[in-house]
Amino acid sequence: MDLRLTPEQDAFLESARAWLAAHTPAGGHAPPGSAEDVAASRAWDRALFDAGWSVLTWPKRYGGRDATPMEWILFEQAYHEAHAPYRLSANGISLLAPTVLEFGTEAQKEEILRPMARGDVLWAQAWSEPEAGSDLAALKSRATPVPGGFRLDGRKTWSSHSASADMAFGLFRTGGQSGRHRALTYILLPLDAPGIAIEPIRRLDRLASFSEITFTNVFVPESAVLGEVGRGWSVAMATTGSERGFSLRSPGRFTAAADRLERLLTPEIVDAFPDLADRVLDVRLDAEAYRLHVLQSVSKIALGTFGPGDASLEKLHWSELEVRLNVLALELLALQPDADADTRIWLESFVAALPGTIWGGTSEIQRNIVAQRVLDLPRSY
Amino acid sequence: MDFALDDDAVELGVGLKELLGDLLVPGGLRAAIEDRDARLRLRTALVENGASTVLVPDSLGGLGLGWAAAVACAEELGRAGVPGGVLDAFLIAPAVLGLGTGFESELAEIAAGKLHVVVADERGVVVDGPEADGVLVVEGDEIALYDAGQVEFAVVPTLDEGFPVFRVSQRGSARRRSGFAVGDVATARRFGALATSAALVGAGRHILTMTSQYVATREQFGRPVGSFQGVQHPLVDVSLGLEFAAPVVRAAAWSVDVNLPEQVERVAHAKSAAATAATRAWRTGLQSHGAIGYTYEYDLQIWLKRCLSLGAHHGHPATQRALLRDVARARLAGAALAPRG
Repeated sequence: MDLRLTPEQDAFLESARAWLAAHTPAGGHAPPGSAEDVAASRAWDRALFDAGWSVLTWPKRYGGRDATPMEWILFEQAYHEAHAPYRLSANGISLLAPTVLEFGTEAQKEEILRPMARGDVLWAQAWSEPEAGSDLAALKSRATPVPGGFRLDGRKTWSSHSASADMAFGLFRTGGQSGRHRALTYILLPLDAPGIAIEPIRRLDRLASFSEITFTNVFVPESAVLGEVGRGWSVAMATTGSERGFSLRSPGRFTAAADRLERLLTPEIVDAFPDLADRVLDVRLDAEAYRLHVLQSVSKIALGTFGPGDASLEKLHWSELEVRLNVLALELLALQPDADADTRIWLESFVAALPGTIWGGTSEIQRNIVAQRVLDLPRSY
Repeated sequence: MDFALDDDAVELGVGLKELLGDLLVPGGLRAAIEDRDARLRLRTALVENGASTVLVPDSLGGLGLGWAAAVACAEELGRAGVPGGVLDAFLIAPAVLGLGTGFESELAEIAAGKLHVVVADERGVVVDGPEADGVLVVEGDEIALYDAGQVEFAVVPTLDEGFPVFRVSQRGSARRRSGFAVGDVATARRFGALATSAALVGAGRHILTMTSQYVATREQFGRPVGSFQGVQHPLVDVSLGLEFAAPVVRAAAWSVDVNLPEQVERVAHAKSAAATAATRAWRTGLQSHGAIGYTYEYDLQIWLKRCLSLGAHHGHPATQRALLRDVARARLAGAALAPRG
């Protein structure tokens, strides 16, 4: 056991910091709201890719560096210290790419991965449906076999960034409704295919960052299937495993946010409102506990003992921490109405934090998973 | 950067867990709590298997390991509910004596199980009292070792039959007080907080395991009560608390071993998080068991009481909290002086 960085890791962290200091654009913390924003976001992905930072842990042949999980954690630490922009490519890189790397054909890997990492092709997820949220296996959108491929019909909703995305990945029913999760297929599709209608949905801050997608007689070829027909559930669970795990939420995100939160405390506030200072302290400690837990997970992954229960525990911890952190930031800003020029960024951060306990398996679903897989309790009611 | 525990520490923890499983046959733990001879036999068996040697230098018959290994042992002692001052006698006392000079014979006796030393915490409270051979007491900036016969113990009322506590009220002359340096008192306090943190995580994990097993089998309304989310989810919150306290404890132990400045904050964080998690564990454990958990006959009470004892002993959560506030204030003052960037 040694929690110090090796000289190589230290040099890696410093090189990431140096590159980010020279290249990080200002702003960009909100999901893009305009075509110019989307273009800027793609350009940022391209810059990251060209410098070799976009997808560190991927194999070199697909544009990565074969970096270790620890190097990824260090890069993310530097990224969030630099307060670098929100990445529109995150859905594809974090949710789809691990699945493609595990289940994709060589042709799919060649076609999908590099353009995704460069921001050339943006991906949106198509999981939830109006009647299938937490009970995802109840989904009804169908993929009907036709000569040469499938015909898609149905509706998907809460699809993040689909209004600006080029492609989507999701689950479609290829068997009977009673088959539940055994009759689903994982399908990749272009969002400009004939028969697709995208209806943006405004978040509570009026930003249209997600959409409902309607499929009417949409043709996709057989090559659109990721994994095997009818095996979509297990393929998708590999994706939600990465979604829930540390691949999407690096500790640097929370330690940097806790540092920014602490900067909202003035000596006057600490003296006058010690309860607020105490809550900031708790956030800081919980961010540090998350960092240490993730470092423990890295060693568990190396030992092969990291389980789905661990991923759910981590998601519960960070998603609830992030909401608490942002609520506290708004309370502190409200006490000093003109003290901080970053208020707009905090408001955006607050809105972005709220759905963390809902997407990718709600906190209730995560608790069911921990109850059954870690505590060995019976199925939940 | 490597979070994985060294092999010798892993083996030590696993070995101790197995040993305690063998020693504490059904009824054995209660016997050790209620009967002094049974308690001494258990302690002797632990000593014979090396539990008192972890932090004693190898030149004096010990294993010469550090706190990263010691907390793995402390967690198992807490998980098993071993009564009395075993954390003090096996881990905290030899670590504190190791700070001074001239305690070679005492350290060798501790490793051999011939000397049972307990350590007064920041409240002046010790476990075992007259049952111990020696007591380490802080006097101002110094630490002194007393023979138990030179110390008067005043019983402090407690619910925990397995963890009798006493105020060290009067003293004769010290057996030895040599070689302690400025700062050793704070270091000694950290040793105590580390050991009790790890034991709290162990005790909390045991409560969670026994409660999960209970609710998975206890049926009401025609199904196990553990199938209701209203029962499951609070237990998951117990797991969250414990699983996020455990790596903090381990990191704190390592920080003490390599003597990093952040050990002050880390150890306080460890004790604070472990005490909070253990409190949630016994509270939820009791609620999930219903009335059976409230009885003396059922074993939950043993760990419930131990969580209360260990939480307050060697680093009361309020003192840890005060330390954390001091560190945060110092950081804030430093940030206020530095240019905002």
